[in-house]
Amino acid sequence: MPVCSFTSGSGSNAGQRRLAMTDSDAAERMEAAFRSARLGDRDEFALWMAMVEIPLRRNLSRSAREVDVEVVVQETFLRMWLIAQDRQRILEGDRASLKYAFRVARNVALEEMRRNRRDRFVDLDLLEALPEGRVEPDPPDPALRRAIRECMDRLPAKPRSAISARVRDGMLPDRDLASGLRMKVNTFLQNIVRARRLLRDCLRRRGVPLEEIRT
Amino acid sequence: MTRDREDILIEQAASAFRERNASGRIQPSPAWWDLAPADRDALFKVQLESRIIESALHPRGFSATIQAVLARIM
Repeated sequence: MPVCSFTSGSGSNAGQRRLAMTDSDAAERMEAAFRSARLGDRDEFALWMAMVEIPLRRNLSRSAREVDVEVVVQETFLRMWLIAQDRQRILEGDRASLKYAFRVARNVALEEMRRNRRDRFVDLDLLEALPEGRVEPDPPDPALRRAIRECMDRLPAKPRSAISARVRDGMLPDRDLASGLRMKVNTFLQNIVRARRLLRDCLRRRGVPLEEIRT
Repeated sequence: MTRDREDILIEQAASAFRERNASGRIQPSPAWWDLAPADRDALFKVQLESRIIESALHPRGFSATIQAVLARIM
């Protein structure tokens, strides 16, 4: 039975970060969610994804010019679901599921580069040498949620309806979302661009700069 | 390309919706192909920002990406 083992010292950045207690709790909760996903619990798998998504995305920042990161993240999660269902595969060690997801994502990114036929322009050693990145799951932030909600409420009607549709049903095609709002797709997108600018400004005024959160 | 056109392309590619090919493989956004390297860096930030906002506002913290994956495994 294959066992993939990770220690807290693996990865160039691992161990360099001081872990707050909340990080440790979140990491335990994350691993518990992945263990429950192994029993077929989709709700727990969704919770696991919610904790892993942002660290995973940040870890892919240096691939962003070569691959569509959204594709890599979705494909990585689908593979992690299959891995969770594989009773023959056991992930052991500190934050094992997150570290394994980083490696799956790296492989998916490589596949995407080859598929996009851009691999000859890419230094694969560079990708292989990417740091493990931040290995703490992201806990939910009630203050951020409150600030975003308040700023969303202050948006003009059309930009607010457009970005709200994306927030609510973002997994659907824009043409469907635009149609539901009786907008042309281009108008819908222009409204989201405007909403995003206003939202950034509003959050910055409230001391919540999205630019810092997202980098 | 004008800044407005770039912004629209970035916003198109920031969506979590992705088409699939005949074998079920997830396809890059058509807009992604039209973006210059620097704009792809900008897209990365907008995608990240979008997922943070979506998860912050979702009652269970699920971004559109997570909802798209859940729709696939349900």
